[in-house]
Amino acid sequence: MKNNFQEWQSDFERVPPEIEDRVLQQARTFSAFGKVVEVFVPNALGAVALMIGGEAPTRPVTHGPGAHLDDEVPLWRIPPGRDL
Amino acid sequence: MTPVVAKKITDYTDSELIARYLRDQNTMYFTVLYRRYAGKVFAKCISMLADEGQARDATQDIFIKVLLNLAKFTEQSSFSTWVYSITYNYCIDMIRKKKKMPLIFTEDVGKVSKETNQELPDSVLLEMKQERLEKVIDRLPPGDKAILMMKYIDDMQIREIGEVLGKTESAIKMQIMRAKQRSQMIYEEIYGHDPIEE
Repeated sequence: MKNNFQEWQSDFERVPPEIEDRVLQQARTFSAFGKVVEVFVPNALGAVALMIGGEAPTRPVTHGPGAHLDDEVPLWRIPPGRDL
Repeated sequence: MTPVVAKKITDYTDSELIARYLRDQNTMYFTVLYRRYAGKVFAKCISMLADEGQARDATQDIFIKVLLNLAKFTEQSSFSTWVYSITYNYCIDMIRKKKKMPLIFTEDVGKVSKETNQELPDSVLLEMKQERLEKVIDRLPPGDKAILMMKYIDDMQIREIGEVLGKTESAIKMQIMRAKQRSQMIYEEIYGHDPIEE
């Protein structure tokens, strides 16, 4: 059961819907920005590292196009009589 | 074999929603959190700021703050307590800036004498008629208003209120007592010796 304070508070709990739109719009913007940063910043840092003469951090490509390029050739693909 | 029933997103606990939001950055999880607490936050902002326009802006700012600080939430308190503490502190800061007044608690105002350390029962407030309570609360300094709201609306422990306001437990106990005394004084100013009980 609600006390008189809680009853008084519950009179104001109807939030105008435009606040939800504004908050969630900003949340989506932050989320999209976060994903862009996550994808591009490591590459940008790698490029800067290369430009100043260092080595770009390498990360194995685990999925998407080119994912197979770094893999070792499986034994069953080597024709008989050929060395590795 | 018992069928596996997928849990609905609205059935997730606050902690599950936070963990999933931080992992996937999917705003769907944050939306559920927002809908769970927006009403309470908005109501607190209206009560504290006494202005609907400001309460709207404050609610928006508070949820953006919550969103940006979700990773810092450590589960030392419940999520609701954490959100409400951001809300109260935001509103107190806003009032301080708006009115340029450092006087936030009754003891700062100095109307209640330090000698009157008489403990008043909760019934002094809890048995007031709602419309009278509203008028009394409106005339309290913002700090007192916040402290009474934390105690009687959010059922916060003294320790939790202390953490929200950055004060010791004994200071909070003293401030609750003074806020009650001041409420009684305001009641008597408005309604004379009309009995508090309904």
